[in-house]
Amino acid sequence: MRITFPHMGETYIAAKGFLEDLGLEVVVPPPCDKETLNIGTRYSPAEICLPFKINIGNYIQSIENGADTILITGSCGPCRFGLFWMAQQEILNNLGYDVEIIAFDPPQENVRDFLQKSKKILGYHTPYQIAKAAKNTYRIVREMEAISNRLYKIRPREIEVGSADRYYKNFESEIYHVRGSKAILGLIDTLNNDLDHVDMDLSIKPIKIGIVGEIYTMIEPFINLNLERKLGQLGVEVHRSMTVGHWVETTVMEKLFKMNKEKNIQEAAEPYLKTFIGGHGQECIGHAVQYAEKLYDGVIHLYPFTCMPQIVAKSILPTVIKDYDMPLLTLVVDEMTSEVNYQTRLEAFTDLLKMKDTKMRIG
Amino acid sequence: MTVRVGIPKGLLFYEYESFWRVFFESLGVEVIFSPDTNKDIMKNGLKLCEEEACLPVKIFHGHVLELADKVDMLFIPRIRSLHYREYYCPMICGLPEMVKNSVSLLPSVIDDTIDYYKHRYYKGGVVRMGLKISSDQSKIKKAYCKACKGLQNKNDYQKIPTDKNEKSYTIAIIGHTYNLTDHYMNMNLIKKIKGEGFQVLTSCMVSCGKTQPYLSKVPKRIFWSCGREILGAGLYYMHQQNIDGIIYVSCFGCGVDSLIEPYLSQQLKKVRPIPYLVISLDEHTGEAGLNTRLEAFLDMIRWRRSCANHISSYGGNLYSC
Repeated sequence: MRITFPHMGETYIAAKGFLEDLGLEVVVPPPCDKETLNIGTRYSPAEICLPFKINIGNYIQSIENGADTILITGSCGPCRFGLFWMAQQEILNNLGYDVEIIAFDPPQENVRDFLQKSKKILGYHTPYQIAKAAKNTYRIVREMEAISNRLYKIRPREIEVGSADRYYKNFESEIYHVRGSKAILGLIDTLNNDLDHVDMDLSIKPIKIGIVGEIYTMIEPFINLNLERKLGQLGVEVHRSMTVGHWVETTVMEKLFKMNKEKNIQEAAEPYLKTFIGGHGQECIGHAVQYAEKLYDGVIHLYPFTCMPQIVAKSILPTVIKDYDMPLLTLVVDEMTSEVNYQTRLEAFTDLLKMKDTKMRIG
Repeated sequence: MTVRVGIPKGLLFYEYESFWRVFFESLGVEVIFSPDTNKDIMKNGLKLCEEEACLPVKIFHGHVLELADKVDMLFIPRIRSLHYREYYCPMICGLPEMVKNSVSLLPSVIDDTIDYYKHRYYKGGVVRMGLKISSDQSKIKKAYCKACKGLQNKNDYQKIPTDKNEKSYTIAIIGHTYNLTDHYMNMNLIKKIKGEGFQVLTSCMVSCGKTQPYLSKVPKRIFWSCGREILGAGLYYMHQQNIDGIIYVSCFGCGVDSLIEPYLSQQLKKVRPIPYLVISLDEHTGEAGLNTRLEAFLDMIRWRRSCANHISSYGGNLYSC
């Protein structure tokens, strides 16, 4: 069994660590690029959202590299992500690929099914081994989150623009060649050491922008055209409202142990959107409110074209920003998004924020 | 003066009209519906609503504006779930908020939630809505019971003819109820087909019990009520020998259709390759495009029976693709 999974930002690092600790063979799909998108667009239904297309691209590229089992998480609505694997299995079978998609729906959906699938992946490892692998994986997730947060702080302040990203790129290319969570944690340590040596101008007080929206688009840098890096190089300190660690906590922990970590976000969104509508629509509003309360300079709303929950969020956000008097930029991505258009809009937005900032300081 | 409650004629209105009319009338209020969709309603809806939303949601906004200055209360319930373990699409779940943030100067809105999945009963949500009109709980409960009776009568599904009629042709039209019933939005599709002498069956005519055997073979449970109905009806009609063709009426940007439609068309290819047409509705109102496609489709069905001699043409057979 050679396992693969779709890309979602830095998730692959943790997933690779976990599966390899369990002694499974993992085929990490090559990093998302234009080819991935082309393959995905060719074989996906036309009206589906961009994450689906990227997934298909990832799968086919991995299958060509020898993978025969695909591992993903499932969900049960109301966002359409829960039905992805059904359609994807159909597409892959029609293309003549002999692969199996193992999708983990929440256990309350069908307990027996969940246990069978777990057994397939976990094999006959002892609970101790599994717990150890899970613990190490969680450490990787946390470390990666810390690194992202460091990069947000470094990028607008570094003296030689792009030096931090160069280290990060090195790190990413080495990940493919190591095996197991221990080796990955070693690489993370090296990266942390490297980042210590980046020269920074600490007198710079950059403007702060929060990113809200659909989780996949926020986390996967290819799909959002490296938004964080672009903003960092424009001298902005960004904060992303959702991370992989956050997703693990809210999805896995909440479903398994009934811990609700998002209560404060839901409370923040309450005056504007009372119910959960799936696809992080309510969270998006909540995060925007929280950024406004933390006095961020602006918010960027990011989502893929035709994302239903985010369209609802988009129609509510204007009221939120009016109440808090905070600038908002909405970016919708699909396979036609051009980088130049995107860059121009980002530059204009950050320029406006910077001007507002200096005006307020001068008075 | 009696209170006037306005119900916009859009989205789930078409399925639950009778229930809400009986409910509100039993509470002693005047119920006002918006007129059938027309050009002005559509135009206003397009102006007000988020440009990426689907057409039915946009038209709903138009209906709301039409009613806004004529009534004392607007009825826009938040329907999250009406069946166990099923939701409606996220846009219907967030509809009251969408409307309230896009249309200004609204009268007070009855926007309580009905969430069967979470609470396992409808009554609570309905009673909460009734409390906004009257404070008499027992009266509200009586009105609820009366309205439920009306709903049961409505749900006896029409008898679907299953015998194969040699002379006439039967077409199954599937899609969201609001796509099929709003005749302005779908440009009189059903009337046009009937006018050509075809029999029409729609997805609303198939009962849950009939679709269940087919749906149980689908690898993943469909968690949208509307998606389950459509897919079930599609799979059911696909297996009926008297159906000569299937038309899927979708609207641009619909998330439910974007997954159900490809799955259905794949199954159609495997099970029984009959003519299949997907019509995607959007705000363009030119009818010529629709007419041409429809005529070609109907001709294909006619010719299949009259001209096809069951000898395959070179390089393929008549019934594949």
